[in-house]
Amino acid sequence: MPPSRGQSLIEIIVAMAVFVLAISAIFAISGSSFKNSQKTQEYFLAKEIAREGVEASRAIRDNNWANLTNGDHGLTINNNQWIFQGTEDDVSAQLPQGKRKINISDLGTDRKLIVATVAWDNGGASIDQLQSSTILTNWQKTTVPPSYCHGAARACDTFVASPTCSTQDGCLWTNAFSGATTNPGFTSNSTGWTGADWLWRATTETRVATGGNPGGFIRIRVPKTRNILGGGYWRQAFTTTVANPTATVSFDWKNIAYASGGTVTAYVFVDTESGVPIIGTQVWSQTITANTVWASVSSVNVSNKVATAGTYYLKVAYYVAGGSSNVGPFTIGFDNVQLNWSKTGSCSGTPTTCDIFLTQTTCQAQLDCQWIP
Amino acid sequence: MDTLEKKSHDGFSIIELIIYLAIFSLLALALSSVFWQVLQNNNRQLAITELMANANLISHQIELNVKNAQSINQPASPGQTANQLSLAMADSSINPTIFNLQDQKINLSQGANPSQPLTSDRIRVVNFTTTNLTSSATSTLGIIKLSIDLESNNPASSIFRPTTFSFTMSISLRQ
Repeated sequence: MPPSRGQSLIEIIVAMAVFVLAISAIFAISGSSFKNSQKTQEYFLAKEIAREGVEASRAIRDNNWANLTNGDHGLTINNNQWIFQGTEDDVSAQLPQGKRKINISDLGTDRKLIVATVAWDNGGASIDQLQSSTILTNWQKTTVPPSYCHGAARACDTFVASPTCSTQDGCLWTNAFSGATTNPGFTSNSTGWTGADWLWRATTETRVATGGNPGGFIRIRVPKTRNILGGGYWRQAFTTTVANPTATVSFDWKNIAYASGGTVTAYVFVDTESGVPIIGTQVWSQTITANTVWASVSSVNVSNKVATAGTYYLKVAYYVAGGSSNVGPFTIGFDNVQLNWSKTGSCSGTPTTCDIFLTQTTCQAQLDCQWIP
Repeated sequence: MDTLEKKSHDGFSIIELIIYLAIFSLLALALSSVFWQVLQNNNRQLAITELMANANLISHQIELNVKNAQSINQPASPGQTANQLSLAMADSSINPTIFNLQDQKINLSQGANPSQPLTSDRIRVVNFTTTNLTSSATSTLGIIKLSIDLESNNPASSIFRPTTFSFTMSISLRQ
């Protein structure tokens, strides 16, 4: 009979090895199934997080297309709204070391590609990653159709700015008007000006070639005598073509000769008649008690004298009351005499159906136009 | 003498018996522990599978309904939080469509139809929170964030560890 009928140590070791192999196989299967299940959960969470990124981008788009700037973004809720913040956001509360990143890039005009990437640590050597994407368009964009006008242009002037044309369409455009008296400086002559006596025939009205401010000027001279009562004036006619313009008079004056005993006054008038001025209707006056140097008077407002369109006379005048003794002479000079009037354009009339207003710097192109919706 | 020698070689000694018993019980212990682990794991897997299936169903149903909704009734205003999601639908037969938490289940009721549980008996919904994150600038288009916590409905006496699954989702209206 062989001496070893029982199991040898080798046999036992082999049996145990087989047993251990079987057990570890069962463990491995069980472990991999556990790992798979964890992966399923992580991918489900990642899918929802990525989709949230896409949906939040959509909400941001609906709020303002301009907020979809190209590049990487993180998401956060601010003031109960989704907004972009930073280049990624942390979702580690749901996924281990999870990060979410929204990448926005252009897909042509008013179209953008949104890619939400969620990456997390799966506990292994690599990083798991899931992407969800969509294309968003600027659906709220409103394009203003080009409006245009046609029709014959009419003489037209300053354009009155208005944010819509409803107040302008159907309007009658009024020209912007302006005008002025001529030859203010008397440089070479007194053309345009007429000298006349003012109740005192001894007065002389002459243009002087030198001594003005500068150069030539006009002079009114009342010679020395007794019982002086009057003087002279220079006038120039001008015509306004519009009601209620803004009108101003500017001039220089200098009293050249003065003698005590006379009551001397310089005047400026804007009258409707060419005849002698009437004291009390002046637009400017100055009582003179001595000789002066050249003085400038600028922009005397005479608008109230030219309320209606028509012909007016600008007059610069000199008036002396001398008394019973011999006094004089009295002389005044005027230079750079000019009246300017102007009126900016305006519109009036009944507005008609009107549309988008074309910005124009002048109304030239807009007058008589028919506005097309 | 011969007989005595033969007899001594025939049976086990008490020491041998004890050693065999010890080895056998060790093996049996290891084996049963392995099977216990496998059983427990299997049960857990089953619970997770159920939770995931329910989570998927909830997610899909909410997505489907929100995408077809006209506006959000509840939670009404931006920033408001609720335990339900009520949607105004264009189709009057399903208006309103309401998801709410009742008896630890998410119920879906559409129009006059009786409400139906979405989730199975084998899971509990322990949290269903909805937040309206609609931008006030675009009142017609809404976005909703939902937080949902699910728990496997193991009996209280179960020796198996209860399994939970929590997730959040956001979905915006399309019309």
